[in-house]
Amino acid sequence: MKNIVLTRIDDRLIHGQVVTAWIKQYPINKILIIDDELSKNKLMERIYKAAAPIGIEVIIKTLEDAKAFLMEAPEAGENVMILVKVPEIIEDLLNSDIPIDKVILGGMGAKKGRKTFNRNISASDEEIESFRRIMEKGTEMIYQLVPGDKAVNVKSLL
Amino acid sequence: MSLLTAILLSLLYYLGNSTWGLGVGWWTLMRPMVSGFLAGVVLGDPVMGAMVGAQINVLYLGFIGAGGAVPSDICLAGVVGTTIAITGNLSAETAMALAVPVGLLGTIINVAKMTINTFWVRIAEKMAAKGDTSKYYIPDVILPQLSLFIMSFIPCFLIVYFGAEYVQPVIDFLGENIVGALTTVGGMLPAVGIALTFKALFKGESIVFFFLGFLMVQYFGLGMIGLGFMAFVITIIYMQLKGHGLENIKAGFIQPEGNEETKYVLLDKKTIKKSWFRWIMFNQANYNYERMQGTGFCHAMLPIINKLYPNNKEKREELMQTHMQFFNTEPQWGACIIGLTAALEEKRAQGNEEISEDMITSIKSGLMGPLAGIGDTIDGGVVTPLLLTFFIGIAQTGNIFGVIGYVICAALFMWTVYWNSYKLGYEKGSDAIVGIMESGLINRLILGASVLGCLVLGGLVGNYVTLSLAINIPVGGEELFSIQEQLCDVILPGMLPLLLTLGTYKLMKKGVSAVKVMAIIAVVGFVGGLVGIFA
Repeated sequence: MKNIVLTRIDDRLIHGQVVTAWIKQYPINKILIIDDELSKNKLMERIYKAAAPIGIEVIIKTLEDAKAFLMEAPEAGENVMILVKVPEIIEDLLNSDIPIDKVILGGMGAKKGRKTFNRNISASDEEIESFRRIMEKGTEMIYQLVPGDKAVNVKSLL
Repeated sequence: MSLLTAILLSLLYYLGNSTWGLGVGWWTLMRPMVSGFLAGVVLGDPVMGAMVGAQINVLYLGFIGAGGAVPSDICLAGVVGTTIAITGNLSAETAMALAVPVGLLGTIINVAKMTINTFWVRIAEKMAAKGDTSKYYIPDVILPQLSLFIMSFIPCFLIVYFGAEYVQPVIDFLGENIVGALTTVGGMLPAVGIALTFKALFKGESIVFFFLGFLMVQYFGLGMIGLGFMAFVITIIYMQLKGHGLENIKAGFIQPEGNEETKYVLLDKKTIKKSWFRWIMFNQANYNYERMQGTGFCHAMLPIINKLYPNNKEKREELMQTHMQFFNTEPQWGACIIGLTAALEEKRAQGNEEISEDMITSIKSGLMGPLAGIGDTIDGGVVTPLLLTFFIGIAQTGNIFGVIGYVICAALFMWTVYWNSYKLGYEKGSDAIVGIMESGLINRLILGASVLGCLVLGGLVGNYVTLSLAINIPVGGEELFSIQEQLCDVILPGMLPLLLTLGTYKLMKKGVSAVKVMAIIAVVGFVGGLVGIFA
């Protein structure tokens, strides 16, 4: 099993908060983006790879490939950060027995079908149900933009 | 304090948070060095204002505020801190210790603003549904700025108008010992700001330059300007040795090729400039949790939409609704996304059917994150701390050129990025944007700026972090052995400030939040100052 140091739901994926704050706080050297759509998009792959700072490798995988990847034995010193756009992916990983102790809810933009959930988090009813199921599996979920912010337990927001 | 003074100070605070800073207010008016200086102008003591503002600003050198995560209201800290110092006749250090909690309290204003602004999105939506481009400034600028004005003017007014007159009596009541201990705390706190910058700025290989900058100032007594020139030369030498000479960097920035003849067909230069100007002015005028810069993006697209579809109301409705969706990026580096969107919409209006609405939306949302990552790193993480460090070092000596020089340099840099980014997006398109991102130029720019930043930051430690021991050991008869003067200062002047800064950095690296570290320093410094361990 790969060494997962951080898991975050954030539909802007790699952006300022991730680059200037989170990867400075944790010894991350690999960012795994799990998104079926993106894994087919060569241009976006180039953009995300180019946006990562020196020393950080970005890999974009489909959900199925990501599961296989995470099950592999870790390379020496490899520390993975998982980035996904929606909670359902996390749920799927948990169902496949990939252990994730803690999920950070960072950003979900407003769009059709979603309502404001908390500050910059908008979510549909199905997504909120998914939050619930993730937490029922014993995974802790917190809302936190950057490490310096106070962590808010998502349970208290439901 | 006169009513007029209090009104002017509160107005100043609003302006620092507002949208009226010509696209660079966030980098200039909002920074404590600048807002402190201007507060000093209002209070009749610009030099003192610059010095106090500069001191307070050290704490917020590495302030980034990515994606609306604002750790402290630095403008309020600057205005109120400086006001307290000048009206209460306090030292910059004491004022700083008092400004910190004010800054923390002020973050409530930001949360309130971003929540309330969501309401204005509803009105903007109604206008978009009617294709009404002429009154869009009302929900995107007038209403949010009006509510921001109320939310920022009133609290600031209450604090400075009613609070200022109590500063002197409270200080007298506290007595010399307690004020002395507060001064000790204020002298130690800049270590947090420097350590935070350290965390944002320092890649493994540039750390050593921090020590070089520190030593150059401590042993050779270099002033900030001297250090600045030395640091510049050292950075160029280092970059050349790494094979990143200036020529290479320049060549890389001119490289992107595009086909100009397909641009400026339906759009003209005037429309592009208009769109650009609206973007720099209003990108965060209605910053809110739901759409972030969504309405600001649409506002910048309006000149384009009007030009492309002057007589097609349905099309205007459609485009306004598309372009006020959730959007958030770093305004300067991300400006190319507006330019690119303008180019794509122009092609679409010419009848190019390969470009769909979905495609434009996915390019927008794909680019906004990565460009925010790059922009926040360069603008907030390296360039601003570098400029601030250098000019704070000048302002500290009571030289107001420190403030003016900073404002000019920061504004010119940001405007340059804004314009070139927008133009690149419009004229050269997405391949050029990705080309620049992949060329490695950006990482070289970050490396160069962080080497330069480390050098000047090292120089700042000895000047801004103040901590010295007041313990004297009797060594027979009347003789006293001063640990500070006869031990620390002999080996390495500024040793304690350096150790304090490094210790603070270690704590934060371990995951202790900046607020907690500040609280620890406040307690240690206060107690240490009170019992006479620290001077």
